[in-house]
Amino acid sequence: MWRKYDKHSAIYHTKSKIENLHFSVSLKNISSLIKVPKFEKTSDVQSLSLDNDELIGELEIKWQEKVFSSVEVEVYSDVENCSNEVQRKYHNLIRDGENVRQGKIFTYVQEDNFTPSEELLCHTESKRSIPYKKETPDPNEEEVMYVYASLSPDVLLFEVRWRAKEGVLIVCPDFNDCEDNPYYIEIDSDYRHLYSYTVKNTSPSLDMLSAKLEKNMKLGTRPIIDIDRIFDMPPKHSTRFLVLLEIQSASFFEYENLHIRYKISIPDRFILEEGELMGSTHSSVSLNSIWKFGHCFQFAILSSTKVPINENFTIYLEAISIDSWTRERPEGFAFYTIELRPQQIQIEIPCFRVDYGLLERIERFFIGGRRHFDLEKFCSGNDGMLNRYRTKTISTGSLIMQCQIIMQRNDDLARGINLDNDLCVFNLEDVLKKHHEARVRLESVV
Amino acid sequence: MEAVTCFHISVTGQIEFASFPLGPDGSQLFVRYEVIAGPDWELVAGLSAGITQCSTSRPQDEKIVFNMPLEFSYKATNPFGWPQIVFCIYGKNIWGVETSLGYARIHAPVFGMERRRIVAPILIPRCANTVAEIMSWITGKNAELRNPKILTEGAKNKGLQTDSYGELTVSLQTISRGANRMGYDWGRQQSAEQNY
Amino acid sequence: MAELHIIGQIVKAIEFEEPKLFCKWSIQIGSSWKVVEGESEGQTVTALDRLEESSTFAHPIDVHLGTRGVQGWPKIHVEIFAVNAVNNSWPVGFGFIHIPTQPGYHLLEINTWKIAPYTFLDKLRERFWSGGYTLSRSDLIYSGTERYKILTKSSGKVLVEVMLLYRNFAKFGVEFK
Repeated sequence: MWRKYDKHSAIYHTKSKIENLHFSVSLKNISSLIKVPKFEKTSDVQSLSLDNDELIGELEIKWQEKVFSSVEVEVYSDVENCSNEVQRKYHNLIRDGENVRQGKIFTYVQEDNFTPSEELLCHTESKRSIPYKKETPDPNEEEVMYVYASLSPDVLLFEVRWRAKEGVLIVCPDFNDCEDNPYYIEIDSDYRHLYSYTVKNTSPSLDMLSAKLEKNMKLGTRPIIDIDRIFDMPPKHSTRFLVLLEIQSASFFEYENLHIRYKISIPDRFILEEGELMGSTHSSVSLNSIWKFGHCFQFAILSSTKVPINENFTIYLEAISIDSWTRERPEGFAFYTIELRPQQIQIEIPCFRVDYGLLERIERFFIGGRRHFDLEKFCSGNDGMLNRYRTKTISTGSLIMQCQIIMQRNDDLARGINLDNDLCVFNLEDVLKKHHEARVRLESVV
Repeated sequence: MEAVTCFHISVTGQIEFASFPLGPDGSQLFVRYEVIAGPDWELVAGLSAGITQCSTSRPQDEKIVFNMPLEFSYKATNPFGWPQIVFCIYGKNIWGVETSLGYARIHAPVFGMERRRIVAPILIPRCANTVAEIMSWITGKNAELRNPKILTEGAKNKGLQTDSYGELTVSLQTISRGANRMGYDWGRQQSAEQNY
Repeated sequence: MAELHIIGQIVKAIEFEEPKLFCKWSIQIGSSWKVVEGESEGQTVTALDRLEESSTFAHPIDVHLGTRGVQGWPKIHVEIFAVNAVNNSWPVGFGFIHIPTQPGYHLLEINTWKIAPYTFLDKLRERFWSGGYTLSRSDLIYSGTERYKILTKSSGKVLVEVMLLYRNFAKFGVEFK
């Protein structure tokens, strides 16, 4: 139906000033793929084929010009959302109302420190093995600018990189023409949306010599695909927890051929992303009266709030023995609550068994059999009080478990804050920047 | 700026002593060590190989003391291929013939500003078949590895049979520079002892 | 892309009944992970200790993993095999453990188990002849709810020492401590 034009990066050398760079981006919504000719008198022959497409955005942009999206305007209008200097500057700009351009097409400039979460549009090879000699580019050497369209989701249209030292401009994808080779975007949400966009170089006096496109640029060992930026982040303003649990061993239980069944209950505001919350270990025969399981499992959960504080999850455990005559006997129950924060702990959980009376003990010895016991209800209170008075229990053995939790957040607004002090790079510029930020904070309080 | 793309480590320490419960199978022991690192590593200072003096223990003690300094510095672009030190131990058997008494291998410590003692078990390769075993028992010469470096590459020592007897105690300290700037997270400091 | 370096060694296997052992190890990773450099599996030397009841391998591990997500956190999986005088080998321990989530030095103790002999004849066979059973499908170790039907016997421990180096995890909002 239409031909997809491949997107390539282009490399230009220029000795002129980068501030002279102008380009214009235009975005069209393709409502129908069939070009039906319209029988109207038109003086311009060329406009025949383009009537089916609806122009939704057109923008003339200069180098490092900040254009806000509607989401950004909303966020930065509120001064409390601004955590660093750049954001405060935006807030002031929006408040003053001047030079504020917003629309479907918006930009991220060098100051935003933005890293796109999606893969770049241009691939020369889509599957490439990661070269291990990677160079982390010095931010002083390269300036970058991203142009996005706020369709849902936000789509990266265009990326421009400028290396001042070498006089090299990298444009990805290359400039194109709306008639000859527009770039297409396909979004599959409620139904298929198709858009096309073009990027034109309108710089008046920028004299650019196009360099030959080479796959492995001789400009440095840094490949075109920015593998550094690909990582699976949780959705914005939500937190992901990865919990790794291991049931290590059990000791001092009565009967042999023991296995442990577990069930995990997560707090209400979380959803399970990956893994299973219920399962059982294999049956084990003891050695020196210790049953070793070494059963590892993991699950990932996602919360809808920003930073959940004081959230816990609970693990309910049940130890059961099955002997060679397939008689099942409950050996112990236990539960444990673990706080959801990054940590690594080893816990020993003592277990208990319910004692129903003399008849039940005889029955347990001869026939076995498990009675229905609602452990979750036993461990949660109702009507303001957890009353276990009527139940008699016997202590049985204990279980040893290890739990490790990792937390991952995707919070653009918190990016200015250093999450881990050990990774601070202490050079002079950092110190001056932090001093300046602290001073601004102090002034706003005083 | 070169410092952004590579980091330096500097390892100092000494081979302290070798200890064999019930005494070694020889006297006048000496150790030859060699540092082996991956392709992204380059030695910038210090010695990557050495031979200790010949040492004997006192009759009532099982320790054979070497007290041999180990010092080397490397520059690297990638933690893969972290330097390992291979030790080959030789001694004189009852016939006065020099024979191999085993091999040990450790990684240079990755962390730790404090000096740490590492106890490396000594592995002695066994002979391939019974005839060789009888010959080695008669002549008093133990089996030797033609290329001790295979101990540092996991893929090549499949099928080798070893005995373990004795330990070599080495104390080392690593100072690193530049790794934090490359984005590496090295965790907290560790305790001074590392033994099993 | 975040990276994880696992540098360490499989030290020894202790508390096993059989004296002569070798270990097959592998690092199991989820779908978002990838081995960039190094070997993710291998086999150690066959070791015997002259005095103690242990087998010392001192087998080096040096793996460089790259990842696009935290799910599918790597695990070390070990299988210990015993060797008899006529060079038959049979498995005497399976075990696995998660790679720790904090960077630094860790000494991991992997508790292993083996398939338990069912009948008396099996027990005799295990002791005097060619050894015990192995799993017909190795994915039985990893799969879910019916695992209690596998009867196992606790076996010894494998000590693995790892030093973990993380890179770029903080950049993607991942916190460990």
